[in-house]
Amino acid sequence: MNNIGYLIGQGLRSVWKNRLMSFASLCVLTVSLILVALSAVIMLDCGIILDNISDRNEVSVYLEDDADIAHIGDVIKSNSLTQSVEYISPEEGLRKMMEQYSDQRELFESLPYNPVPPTYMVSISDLEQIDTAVNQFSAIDGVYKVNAPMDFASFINDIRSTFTVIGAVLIIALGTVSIIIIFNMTRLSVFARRKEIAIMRIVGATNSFIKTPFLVEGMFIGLLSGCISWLAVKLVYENLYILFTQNLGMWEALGMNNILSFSQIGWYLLAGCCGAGALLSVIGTLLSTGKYLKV
Amino acid sequence: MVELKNVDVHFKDGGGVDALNGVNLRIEDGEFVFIVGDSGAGKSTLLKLLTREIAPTSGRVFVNGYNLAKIKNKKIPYFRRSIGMIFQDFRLIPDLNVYDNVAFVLRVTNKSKRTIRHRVPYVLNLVKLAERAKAYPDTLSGGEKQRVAIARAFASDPGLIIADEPTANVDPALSYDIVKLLKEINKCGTTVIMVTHEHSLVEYFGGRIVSLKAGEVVFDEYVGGEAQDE
Repeated sequence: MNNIGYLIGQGLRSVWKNRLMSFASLCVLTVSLILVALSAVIMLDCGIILDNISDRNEVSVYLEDDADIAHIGDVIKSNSLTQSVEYISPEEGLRKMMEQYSDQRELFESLPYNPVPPTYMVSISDLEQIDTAVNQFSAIDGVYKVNAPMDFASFINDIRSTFTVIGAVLIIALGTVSIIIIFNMTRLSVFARRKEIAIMRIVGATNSFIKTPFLVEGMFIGLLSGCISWLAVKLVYENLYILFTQNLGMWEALGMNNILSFSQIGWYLLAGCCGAGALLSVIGTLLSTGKYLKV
Repeated sequence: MVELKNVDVHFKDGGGVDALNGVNLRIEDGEFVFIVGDSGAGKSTLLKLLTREIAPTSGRVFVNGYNLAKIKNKKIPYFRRSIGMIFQDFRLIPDLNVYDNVAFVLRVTNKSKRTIRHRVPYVLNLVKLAERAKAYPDTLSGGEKQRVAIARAFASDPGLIIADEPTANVDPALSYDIVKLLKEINKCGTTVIMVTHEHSLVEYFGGRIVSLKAGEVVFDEYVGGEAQDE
């Protein structure tokens, strides 16, 4: 404990002494963290967009004219995927349709009968289970047809799945590359300090005393990379946020105006970037010192 | 105390070499011993055994109460703190000045700042380098570098100092000063084992001389020297 300041100083001095390799490691680690952090944020936002769609996600269950409306309502309510149910009578349905298409009101009025069937508007709790819900509702006796906005939900689901895969591949690939880079940085650092290390051993330095400056060096690079990548992600994300939330248009219709603002995720992202940077560095350093600093 | 009992060291590399054969040696606390021998006699192997850089193939090695044939890896740093090493190539850290080179061994062994502040000036004074405390190794002469190395070896007040040909890279005239300095340290109660192949030094200082040849102890006696006669 007497030497903690000395060991930290040695680690930081080593960063400067091997500045070229330190800079290369910093760049690779920073790029890796930026890509992983952006993927993570996009996955989070996809989740929020899907939640928004789920909120409005209503399946229309059209009934036959002679169907047992109350019984079908009970069956729908008892389904585990059902979040809420609203019954719309043929009269109310026609009225809404006339309101929606007010310029064609005369056409509706000229019809000899009401074409709108009795309908249940059903909110589904899990968007990913919408296919199952449609199949189950269609199988109910007296149900004429079930309509669901599956295409857009499926599209967003695909995006989320794609970014989950991309994120996982990025984490594995870039994490491995980062560990290899830190591993080599530490190896060069061990080589540069080999005489000092030999003297340390002969005068009775413990393994932890010899390894600590290398860990400090790796941690410093990792934390610095975390901070730089956080700043870069902040810059990119804040511009994307403005694009999605202030230039509304179609984005709002798709529910994208509710994506996370940077202030909501900033601190978590900083902790994540710094934590991941430090973790990758520590793993790389420990592997390298374990291999090249054997007693 | 240093004790070797029936020690063999066999290297498998290079077709198999018997570096030491059945060596028995006992050095009491406070002794000053010269180890002499030609190249390949086993002097370096003996030193590596005593610093636990290598383990014996068979036999037992005791140094300062540690059984080096059975010592665990984790204990080796603590054993090494009980000895001081001096090398013919000095092995000073070029980035550190004289003061920090000596303080280095104390920092490594987790000594307090207060201890370092008291001990380093004391040993630099002992080797007459107090005024060169801020100098860097590349500005020192060979003799001065070796005195820094001696100060470093003595800084942690070890019970045993092992000097591996400490006069090999200094002027012949300064060699005597280096040995005198080691003799002074020996007078403080520290055991000193000095490996050398300079017969003139051994003849001058005399004392206990252990001679190795082809990995065996062929001579181990006290010999009178000119310095003792003075």
